[in-house]
Amino acid sequence: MITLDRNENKAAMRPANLFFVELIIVLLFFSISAAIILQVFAAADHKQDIGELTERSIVCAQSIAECYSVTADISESAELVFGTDAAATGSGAVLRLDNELKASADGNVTLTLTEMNREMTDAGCFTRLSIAFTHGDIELYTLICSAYVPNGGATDE
Amino acid sequence: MNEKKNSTGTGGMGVGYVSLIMIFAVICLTVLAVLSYQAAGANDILNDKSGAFTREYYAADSRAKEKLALLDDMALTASAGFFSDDFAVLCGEEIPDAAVRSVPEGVEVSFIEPINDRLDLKVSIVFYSFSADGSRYRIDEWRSLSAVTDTTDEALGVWDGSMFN
Repeated sequence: MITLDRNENKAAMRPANLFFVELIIVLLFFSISAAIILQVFAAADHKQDIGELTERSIVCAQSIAECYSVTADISESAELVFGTDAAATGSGAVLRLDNELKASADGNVTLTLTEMNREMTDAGCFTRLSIAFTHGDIELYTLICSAYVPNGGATDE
Repeated sequence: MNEKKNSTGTGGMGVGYVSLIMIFAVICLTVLAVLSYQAAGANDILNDKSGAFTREYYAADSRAKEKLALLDDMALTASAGFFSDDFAVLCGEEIPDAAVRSVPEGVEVSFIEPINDRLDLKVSIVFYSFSADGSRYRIDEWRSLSAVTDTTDEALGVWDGSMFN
């Protein structure tokens, strides 16, 4: 009788044992796949952030290029675009921007403006400007534009 | 006596249901993750194309400004002599693909800088033979236009309603 009871108990516990074993294995596989999937989500989020910064950089670079083509001056162009004086270092300027590409002392986007060459003639001055946006080690966008300023002035229509 | 315990101890859930739910959840999460990564990648491709076009445009703009600098220097040189003839000769030598024509104010120079295989930058500048305020030129046109020439279809010869003729 006692043996029969023990066998009955064991038979009743086998499905419960199987369930818990299955649960453990399922949780193990779920945790591993969740870890991988979360990494994919994080990578997609990072890629999206960089993409947004790149998009804003392209628009900002165009603004700077247009201002430079009129003024042919780095500081003035930076002031027109960002509303603040750029920190001029020789023939270049370095600005720190935040993620909205507004001037910020502790921003993590660096804008580097460098005058590449300046050709002076009797008629005027032709200059080339390099615009580079970087986020840490990532190069977001670079653009090379130019400006020509005649000595005698010109009327544009 | 001893009632057979029908309870399986699992709350009514059989073996296998948990696995099915887990598989379903993992498939959903995987699809979501892949789609979000693909969306970010598509955004990147769009940004690359936009950035490449902007570079192409400003490269063409730079080449056009270089030509403008050259033309302005030639105009200054030509202003010492007989402007129109000297300037036209200099233009022909330095920039062969520019179109030069005389206008009442002086000389108009037009040229096209290719931006890419679909767009060109058209530039048209009038250089004054004489100017009271000291300015040497006026930019009449500086715009991008399609490089593809318009090919309109010829008339199909559709009946115009005339019964005779």
